[in-house]
Amino acid sequence: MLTCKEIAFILASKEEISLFKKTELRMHLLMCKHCSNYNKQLNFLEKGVKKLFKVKADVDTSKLENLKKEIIAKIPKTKDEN
Amino acid sequence: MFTYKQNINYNFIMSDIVYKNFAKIEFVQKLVSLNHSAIEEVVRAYTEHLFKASLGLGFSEVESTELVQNVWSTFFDVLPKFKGNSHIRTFLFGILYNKSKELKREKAKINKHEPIDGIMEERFDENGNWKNHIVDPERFMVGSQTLEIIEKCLEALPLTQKMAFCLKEIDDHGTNEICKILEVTSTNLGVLLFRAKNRLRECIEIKIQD
Repeated sequence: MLTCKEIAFILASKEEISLFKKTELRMHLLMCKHCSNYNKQLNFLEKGVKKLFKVKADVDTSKLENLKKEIIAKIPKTKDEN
Repeated sequence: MFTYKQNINYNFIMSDIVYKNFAKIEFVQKLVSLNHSAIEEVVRAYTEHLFKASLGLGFSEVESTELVQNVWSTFFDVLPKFKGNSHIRTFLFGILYNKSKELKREKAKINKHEPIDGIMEERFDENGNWKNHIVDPERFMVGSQTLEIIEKCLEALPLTQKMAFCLKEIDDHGTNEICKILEVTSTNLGVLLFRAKNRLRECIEIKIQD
């Protein structure tokens, strides 16, 4: 039997587990309120982080284009260009 | 806003094709021999990813710009030595990871003043006008309360944990690729994610109770 501690690790680390353990995990989540709340918290957290990254990554395309141009200008020159 | 969303979808479909193209041996050989157009393709493909990843790691736009330029100049320097035993994107993000560590160390040395001052400085141009548009209020209302808390808590995470999170959430980096970038085993990556999520969880619980 998996303990709550083990369940918590599996849920947060996204560890790959056997089909047998997966079934056990699902059963555990149905019965154990703490683990099921913990799982809900994790889902909320992951969604929140995803949303946060999206908000942060909402940058002006013109800024990005400028940055790309600057970097392209710095590409080392070679002889074998046609 | 609409055009922005279209862009994202387009990029998403394209990134898979690009990823496969870059893995071809002929392409890697071109890169290693410093073929200009091949390098330019890679720059066009990944500058945005790198920039967004570094914003995700908590660096400001100004810092991220410098960081990304730094990553590329290192990339150009070491490219002739690239062996091709990992994907070019993995190689590139490995450089980003190392450069981020350096930058964070530097910042810790210098940056002991209140961070919000610097952030506010960057919001304005030389004339004291807002540089960026202000986020539309409705979106702000919905997102800010919890996101603000998450952001604060995320800031406190060690860089490796943040990076693991960031790579998983921002791009479609697979587990194997993330392990290579961070130079950890898949077991260790699990531990990293476990720690990161629980640190965040604890931190948010405390903040909500305040």
